Amino acid sequence: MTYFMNPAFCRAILRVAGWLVPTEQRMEWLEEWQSELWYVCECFHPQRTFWESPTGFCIGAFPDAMWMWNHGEAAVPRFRFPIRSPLGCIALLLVLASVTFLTAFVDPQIRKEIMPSRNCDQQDLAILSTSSSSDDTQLGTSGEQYGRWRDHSPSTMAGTSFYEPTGSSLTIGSGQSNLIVGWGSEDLFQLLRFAADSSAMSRARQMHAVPIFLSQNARQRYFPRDSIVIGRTLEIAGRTAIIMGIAPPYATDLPGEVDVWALDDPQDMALRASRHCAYGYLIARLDQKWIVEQTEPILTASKGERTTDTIYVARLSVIARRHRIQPLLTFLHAVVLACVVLPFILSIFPCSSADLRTSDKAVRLRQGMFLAFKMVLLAPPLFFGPFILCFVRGICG
Amino acid sequence: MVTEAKLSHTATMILQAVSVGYIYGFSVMEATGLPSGTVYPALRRLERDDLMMSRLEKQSVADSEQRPPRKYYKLTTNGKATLESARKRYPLLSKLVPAGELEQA
Repeated sequence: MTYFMNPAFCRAILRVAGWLVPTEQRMEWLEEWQSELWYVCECFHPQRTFWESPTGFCIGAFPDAMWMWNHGEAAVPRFRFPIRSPLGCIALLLVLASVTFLTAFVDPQIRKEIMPSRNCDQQDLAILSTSSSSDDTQLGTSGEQYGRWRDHSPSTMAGTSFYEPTGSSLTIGSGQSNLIVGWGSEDLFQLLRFAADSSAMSRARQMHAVPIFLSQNARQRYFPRDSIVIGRTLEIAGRTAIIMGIAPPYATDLPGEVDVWALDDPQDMALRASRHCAYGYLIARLDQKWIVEQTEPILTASKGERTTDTIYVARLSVIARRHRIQPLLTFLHAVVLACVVLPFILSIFPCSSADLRTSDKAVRLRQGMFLAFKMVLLAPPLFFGPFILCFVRGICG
Repeated sequence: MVTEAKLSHTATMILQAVSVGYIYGFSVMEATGLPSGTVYPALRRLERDDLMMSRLEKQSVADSEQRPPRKYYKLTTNGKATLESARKRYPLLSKLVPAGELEQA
C-alpha cells in the first residue's frame, strides 16, 4: 500500500512524535530517526508486515519520544518529583491532610457545612411562606402578610411566630460592631424552645430591656474569652439588651443568618406586622402527627379577605438538608476520586520495576500498605479542598 | 566491581544482537524481529544503564557511500558481563539471535 512508503507522510509522523522530545534533544533525535527511516525505506518490500513498513517504523518513534520525554536530559529537572521515598510521600500527604483538615474545622462556616445536621430533634419546626420553593432565600414573608395570616393558623400547627432579620449595631463596652438581629414576636423564644435564664429574664423585665439570645457564632465572635455571658447587658440598636442564653445549634439553620435573636416590643411588632416593607420569616411548630417531607400547600385564606393566599410549609430539616452535603457520601466520593487520580499524580509503587515483579509477600504487603496510606491521606484534601476553595472564593469574590 | 543488572528477555535479545554484530538500530530490528517502538527505547535504556555505548558515524564516511550517517552501538565491559550472565538464564538466546555479518563500526 502506498501510505506504507510515502516518505513525506513518514517524516510528518516523526515530526509530530518529535514534539514529545525535549527541545534541546529534538533535532538530534529527529536526525537519528530520519536516518534510520532512510534504511527502512531502502530495504522495504511489499511482502513485509505493516510494522516493518516505513509507516509502522515511524509509529514506533512515539514510544521512543515518550521515553525521551520521561528520561531525556532536559526533562530530568523539569518533571522529576522531588520526593522519591515512600516515607517522604506519606509525610507530604500527612501535612496536606492535616492542613486541610484543620483549616476546615477551625473556620465555623466550613465546619457548619461539613458537620451533620443538628436539627434532628426539630422535625416539627417549619417555615411558612407563599413560595413553594424550599430555597431559604425565597421563603421570606412581608410583615403585612404575617399580620394577615396570624389569625388563620390551622389546627395542624402548635404555634406560629415571625422574625425580621435587620442589620443593627451592637455595643459592648466601648466597642461597636454590626450584626444581624432577628427581631421576633413575643412568642418567638417559646416557639424556638430557647431555654431562657429565669433570673436574667426577670431582670430584663425590671429594666425594660430587650431579652436576647446569642447565636453560637456570635458567642464565639464577640465573647470568645468570657466564660459567662448570660445576664450581661449590651446595647443593640440603641436599646439596652440582656443576654438570656445561647441559641441552640439548629438555630443557625434558620434563614436570615441571624447573629442575635431579640424579642421586639408588642407595639413595635404590631407595627412590623402592618408594614409591607418589613421582610422576615414566619415559623411554625407543626403537629407531631402531621408529616410533610416536601414543601406542601396547607392553607387558603377564606374568601372575604383582601387577597387569597396559599401558604406553603417547608420543614427546617428539609431546607437544611438541601444546603448540606451528606458527609459520608462525600467522603466515599473523595476516596473513589483518590483511587482514580492517584496513579496520575503519584506513582502507586515507588520502587523499581524489578520490585514490581516480585513475589515476596513482605514487599507486596508493604506496597499494599503504602497504597492504602496514600488513599486515606489523599481523601481529606479531596474532601475538604472544595469547601476551602469555595470559602476562599467567597472571601475574595 | 561490576554489578550485573537483571535484564528482561527483550533487552537481552537486543544486547545479544549488538554483541553478534547487529550494531545499528535498524539491523537490531531485523535480527530480533522486534518493532521500532521496542528497539529504540531499549537501546537508549541500555546505554543509560552503561551496558552499551553509542557513537555517530562520521558524516564524511556516510557521504562517501551516499547514505545518511548511522548511530553505532557497542557493548561496554559491564554490558558484556551482564550478557554473559543473561545467557545462562536464557540458554536459547544464541539460537534466537544468531551471529550475523559483523559490521565494522
